[in-house]
Amino acid sequence: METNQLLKITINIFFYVILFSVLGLSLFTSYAMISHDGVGILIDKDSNVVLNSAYEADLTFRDYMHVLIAILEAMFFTLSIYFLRKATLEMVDGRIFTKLVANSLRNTGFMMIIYKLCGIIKEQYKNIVYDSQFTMSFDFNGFESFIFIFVLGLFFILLSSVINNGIRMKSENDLTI
Amino acid sequence: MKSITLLKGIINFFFLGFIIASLIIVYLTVFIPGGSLDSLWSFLASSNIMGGRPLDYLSPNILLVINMTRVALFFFILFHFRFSVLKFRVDNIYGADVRRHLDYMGYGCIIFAAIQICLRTIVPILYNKGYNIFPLNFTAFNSAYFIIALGLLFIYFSKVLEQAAILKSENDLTI
Repeated sequence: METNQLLKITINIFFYVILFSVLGLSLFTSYAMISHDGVGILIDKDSNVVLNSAYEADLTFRDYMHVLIAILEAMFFTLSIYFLRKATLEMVDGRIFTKLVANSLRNTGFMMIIYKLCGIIKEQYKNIVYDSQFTMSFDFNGFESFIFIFVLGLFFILLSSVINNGIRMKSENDLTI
Repeated sequence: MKSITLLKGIINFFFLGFIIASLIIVYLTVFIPGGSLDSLWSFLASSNIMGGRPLDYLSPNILLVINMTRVALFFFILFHFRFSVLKFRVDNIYGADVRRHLDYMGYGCIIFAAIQICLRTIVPILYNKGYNIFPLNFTAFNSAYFIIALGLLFIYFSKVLEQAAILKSENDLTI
């Protein structure tokens, strides 16, 4: 199988699984927060938000805020994969030097950075509100590290400017011919 | 091109931070009172750096090899990522060096993810630990699927840069 086809399949599987997981979890979390039918949410400070079928916790404003930030984080993650998929599918179809690819790559980069910023806000919110402490740390290990995602986001923004350069050169080339 | 300066600064910080953090771990486990080389090995063998369900049914030696391979591969990816960014210059944006580093990064990511997939699917079956229908974490950027897609994207981008280089040379020739 060609790289292009494999890339197309992988990104599609990843996107749809993420989309349905995030949509399902967000809807279920919202339902559990609003209704009082025995399905509760347990705000666990170590493992973040836990949906719990046997526990109806009394949620306070700070808990709602925590859930909201978690949903926002998941939303930005989904958006980053959405834009990445959009750019990938366009490129795989042979339309590489287009505005759509450049814009989608730039948006992917921005969404990745915002996703990670939401993650930091969530982490600090949890520390400040639940533990009354502020901690600052740098994680250097793995693909989920803040700095790595930040670098990856900037790299996608850089690639979008490369594509924009390509668009300009292509139009100059076409004009010359 | 403003973002490239920021990107270069941050990737240098991350690369150096990764090396310094690794050295600190070695120092804390080996050179503090009571520490030894064995404690470093046992730390690396016991660390669940694969994420997800612990693989504690594997022997410590196998875990040690897996963890070391994973760290080495991440270092390899980071090394080439850093070089591909540093070689991105305004006058040499479509250079062969950048493309080569992008290719290496792509293959590194694919091997990294393949190890993760093998450990989460094949190894549990071999050790009679059952089979999980969702063995892989989908919810974040350290998901094996994302890492494979990223690897393939890097390889694809190297081809895109190659096309752009051809366009640029045609443009230059015309002028």
